Amino acid sequence: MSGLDRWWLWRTQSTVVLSPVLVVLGCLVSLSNADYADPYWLDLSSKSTVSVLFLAPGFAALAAWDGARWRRLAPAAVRSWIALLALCLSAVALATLLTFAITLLVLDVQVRPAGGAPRLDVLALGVLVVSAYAAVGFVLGRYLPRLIAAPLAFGLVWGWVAFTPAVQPFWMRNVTGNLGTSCCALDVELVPLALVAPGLLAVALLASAAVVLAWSWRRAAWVVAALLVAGSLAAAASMMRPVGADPVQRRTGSQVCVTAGSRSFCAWPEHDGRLRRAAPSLGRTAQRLAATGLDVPPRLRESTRAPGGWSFSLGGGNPDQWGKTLAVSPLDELPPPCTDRTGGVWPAGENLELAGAWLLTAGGADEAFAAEAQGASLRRLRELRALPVGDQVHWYARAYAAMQTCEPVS
Amino acid sequence: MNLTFEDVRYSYRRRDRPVLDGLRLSIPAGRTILLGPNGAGKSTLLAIAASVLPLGEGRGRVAVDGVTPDRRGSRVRFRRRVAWMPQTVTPAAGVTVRQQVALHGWLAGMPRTAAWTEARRALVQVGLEQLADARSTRLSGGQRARMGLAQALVHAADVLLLDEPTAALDPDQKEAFVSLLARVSGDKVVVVSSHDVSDLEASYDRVVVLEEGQVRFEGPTAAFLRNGAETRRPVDAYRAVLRRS
Repeated sequence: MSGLDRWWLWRTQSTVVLSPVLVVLGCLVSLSNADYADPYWLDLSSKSTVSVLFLAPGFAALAAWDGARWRRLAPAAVRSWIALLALCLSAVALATLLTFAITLLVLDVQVRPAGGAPRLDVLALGVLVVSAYAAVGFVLGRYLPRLIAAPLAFGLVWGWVAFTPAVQPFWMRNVTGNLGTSCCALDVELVPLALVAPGLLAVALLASAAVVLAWSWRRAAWVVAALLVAGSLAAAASMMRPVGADPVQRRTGSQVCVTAGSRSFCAWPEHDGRLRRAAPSLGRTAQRLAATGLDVPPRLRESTRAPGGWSFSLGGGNPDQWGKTLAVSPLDELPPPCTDRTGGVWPAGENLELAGAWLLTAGGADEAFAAEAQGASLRRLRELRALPVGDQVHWYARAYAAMQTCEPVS
Repeated sequence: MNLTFEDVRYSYRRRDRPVLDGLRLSIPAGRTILLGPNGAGKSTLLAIAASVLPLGEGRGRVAVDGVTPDRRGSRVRFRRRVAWMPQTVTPAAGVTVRQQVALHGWLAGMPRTAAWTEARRALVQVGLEQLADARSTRLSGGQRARMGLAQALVHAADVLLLDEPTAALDPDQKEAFVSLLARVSGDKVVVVSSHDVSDLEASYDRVVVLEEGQVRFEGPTAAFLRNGAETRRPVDAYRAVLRRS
């Protein structure tokens, strides 16, 4: 038996025949995601689930096509329907793994994460979820004509993975298995249940497909399958309901720290190299801010707010820009949450740009650059900078306090 | 070896008149032709023998040497021994002729490698080896029929059930089919449903005539032909059997 002949059974599977097309599509999606990815393997692994879930409707439609073909070919087969499903899903799982591998390779080259490895639990969830959706397609193909089953499987899975994230309640988006829309900036990690809930639903879908295929002539099989799906959906919903829109929590674990001047700066291990390059700039900026009269704490962390709102970011750009992120960091969490209640009305917000520009100059930036970078009036910035330093700090303290509220400015 | 039907009753819908009504039949090894007018129940009988149409509780029993398809374990053993060629052979989209035949072998329980090898042999047997790598959807009606025959032959079943296999064949192909049948039958049970009664004596060992779900005649071909009185023409014998019933 020659090399290609050895794989003849696999080559009859639509998923295998069309997987090159799907893998290329997955890579294109991953390329478009690279701009939003952090050099953090959890983030890259989650972003790669976007590519794989993007292909899930295609896999489901192909599985439906294959299911319908088996029905026509095998009215009295020795092989069971479970064996046929297993063959189909193994092809889907392999194509999914291939998509993951190429997607992660593309993201790795584009984003260059530091150290670590892809999160196997996230990837395993992706394979499980895509297989579950393909199993649904296969069952549709088992019972419906292929020209109905394939588009129906595509539409159902597309609707579930693409539109659910856009609607409320939020728990719905968090049980689809699509983690990339809300996970994971460098300072957060997934809540453990974020993997359990979609995994549970996927296992229930697989079990339901198996029950229906094995005992299709018994009405009880359909009831059991429906109960399995409904029960797992209810359980997954109850797990995700308290989590909110994004199933993430503050990242724990130790950061690496370096000292520059009289302060220490700490960042996540993925940014160790950037931290060492940014340290001189961060040290200078902190020293200048403190010299202006601002209360900059002795220990500063990346993306983790210190008292007074001080932090820094090493997400993109160059060492100089990383230093500037420290200067404007007190304004990062503005506007305040109360603007949700006032329909966006935030009177004190008119000083936001000027405050940002002033903080940049306090950190050592040129006035013209600071005004342009923050979108502030250069004339107003110069007027403010013309005041005695104590008055400037007093103005900033009052403006910052006012910006924390939605009350009219007095 | 025997293919037996015991008290088989079958209706497509619960309230419909039974297509098969208390049918009893035992078919030994050799080539048997199943004759009967349209709607006599020939295709239904073969589909039941292939376990494509399941017999429910109390609707009789079909068996090959005592092995029935009633339960999961024995159904697998039963199906390994039976091959069925339906009236309409459906080509599967996206596969070659050899792949389609090999898929049938694999579905019948053959290991993957053996199915692939035997598919080649079966295609040679039916004279379709030159089209092995063609898409199965591209085949003509006669070529499809031969592919269907290859599908039935691939897993070397003990019982071959062929539902009107020659309907789409030209005269040369029909002749080739008859000689092929003679070659492959050996100690197998071969049941061919057909309306074509020409050359009956040379082609088949036994004849079964079905009408309205009942067996009207069952016996050796020579005994069947005696029903045609002096002419011994198969068509006269056939008419005589039906007239008598």
